[in-house]
Amino acid sequence: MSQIVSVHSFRGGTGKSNTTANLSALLAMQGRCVGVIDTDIQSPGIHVLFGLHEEEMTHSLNDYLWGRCSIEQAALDVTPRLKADIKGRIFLTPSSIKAGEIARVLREGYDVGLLNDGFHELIEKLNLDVLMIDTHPGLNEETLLSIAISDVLAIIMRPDQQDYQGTGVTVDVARKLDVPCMMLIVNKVPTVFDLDEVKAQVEQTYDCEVAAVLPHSDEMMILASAGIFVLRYPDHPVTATLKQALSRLML
Amino acid sequence: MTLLKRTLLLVISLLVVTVLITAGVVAVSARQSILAQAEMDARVITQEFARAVGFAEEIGQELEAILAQQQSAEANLASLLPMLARATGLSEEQLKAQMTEVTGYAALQDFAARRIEQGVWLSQFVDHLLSENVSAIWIVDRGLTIELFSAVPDWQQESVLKAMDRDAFQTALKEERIETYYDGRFLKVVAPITDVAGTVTGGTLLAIPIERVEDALRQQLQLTALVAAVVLSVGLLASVILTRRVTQPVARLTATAADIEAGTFEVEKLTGIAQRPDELGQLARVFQRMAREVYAREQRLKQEVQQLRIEIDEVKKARQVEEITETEYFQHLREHAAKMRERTTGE
Repeated sequence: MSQIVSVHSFRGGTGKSNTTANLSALLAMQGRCVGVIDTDIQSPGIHVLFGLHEEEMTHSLNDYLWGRCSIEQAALDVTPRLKADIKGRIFLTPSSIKAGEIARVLREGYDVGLLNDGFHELIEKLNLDVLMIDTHPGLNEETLLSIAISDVLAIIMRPDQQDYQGTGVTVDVARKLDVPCMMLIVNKVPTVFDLDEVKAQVEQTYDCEVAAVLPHSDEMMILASAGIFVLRYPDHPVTATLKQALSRLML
Repeated sequence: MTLLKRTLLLVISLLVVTVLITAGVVAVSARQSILAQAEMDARVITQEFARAVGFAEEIGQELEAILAQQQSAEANLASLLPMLARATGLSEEQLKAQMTEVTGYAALQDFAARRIEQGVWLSQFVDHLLSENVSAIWIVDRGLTIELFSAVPDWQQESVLKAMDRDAFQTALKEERIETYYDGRFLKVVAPITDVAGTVTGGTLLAIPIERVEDALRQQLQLTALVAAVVLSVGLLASVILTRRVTQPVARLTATAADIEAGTFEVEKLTGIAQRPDELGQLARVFQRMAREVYAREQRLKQEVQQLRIEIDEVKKARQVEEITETEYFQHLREHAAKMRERTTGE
């Protein structure tokens, strides 16, 4: 049974793309066939983590949305690029990073319904076990759509005053959309905080289970946009935490 | 094993070994010097005795010669007496009386000479020498025939020379030197006897009991043992006190460190040690400073952890949620969300 997982955060810079890539890698290592789709059309970025360069992108999500290709044509098998022992496969559907393409999305918008069809078609055509949606921050139409159709919603937040309010709104909105499984991931927690205490406090505040509390790690910072942490450091405590998060998210 | 026990064990072991070695060396050297002294005394006594014997024999011989001369002179004189009597007109009776007087005197002299020859004076001399210092005396000639043997009343051995005695005599007479050796509880000393010309005429053997030497040795050993015991007791006491003085601060530092690990900061307990001017004091001061810094940091961290307050404006949040949920798009989504999910999972 295929599952759709949305990884969302109210604000940018929470480590959303990073978390998506790492969770995808862990799933693929378990032997799953994972699709990763970057719906952050206005500020794409997850392709960097999978080592995909601009010139290598023959097709993107933008091309699908403008009717220039099918959705599976825009999906690229990035498994060999990761140079790791991965039993499953990872298909990445990137968003175009061309300035013109981004400007067109901002100017004209796109048919959100088409996006929904794309998700389902992708799952069907590539026979995916899991589709990971890296969403655009905030609560716009396509994000709400992603949340609405997701089986699992992971909301990333930082222990930061600026994140608290928006995360509260997101949690409430998602609840109204009856997402079957919704969990919070607290990321970039400064080491001065007690991780267990942070978990307890966040769970109490939002009345929502916390799947993982990830410390602000120097290694994570260095690797933030250069590679996938769990592949580089398979024995690191952070990797173990992410694995636990996966099982909590019922993936 | 704690530091105190280990240090104490080490110090005490060293102390015991040192004291025992010192006592042993002192005892051995004392024994050797006492024995050497006894042996030297014995040699001197024997040598002097041998000289005295040689000298006495010389005197005897000289005395004998003088007596012989005197006898011949007296005989001459006696032979002249009848002639003188005739000349002076003494009666035969008177002459006979005079003659008897003279020969009687001569007979007395003869007796004295015989006594000298028989060596009676020597036994008396020897008897004088026998005492608690000398138990038995032998005098032999060159052929090792016993000329004289004398011993104290409680002497329990034979007067016959043993093989070792004969060996010693032979060496002493041949080499003309003094021989000493131990025979059971006796130190035996053999010395050659020489005449005035320096010719070896025989030898003498003195048996000197070593009981007195052993008594002296025993006393010396007892004294050594007593001194060693006193030194050991004082040393043990001192090492216990000193070791405690060194290890106690370390134990307290360790206990304080363990307390800190357990979350109890009581570095004030170290103030006594911190006032010491030595390395331990320095360690305690550094430790106190470190512990206080750690404590301060921990307190700071605790405060920061407590400062994590998630503040949400509930009114504002409700309004923000409403802004989204009241849109037509959201209503549409909400209506179709379940259906859309079914489409996915149903495949």
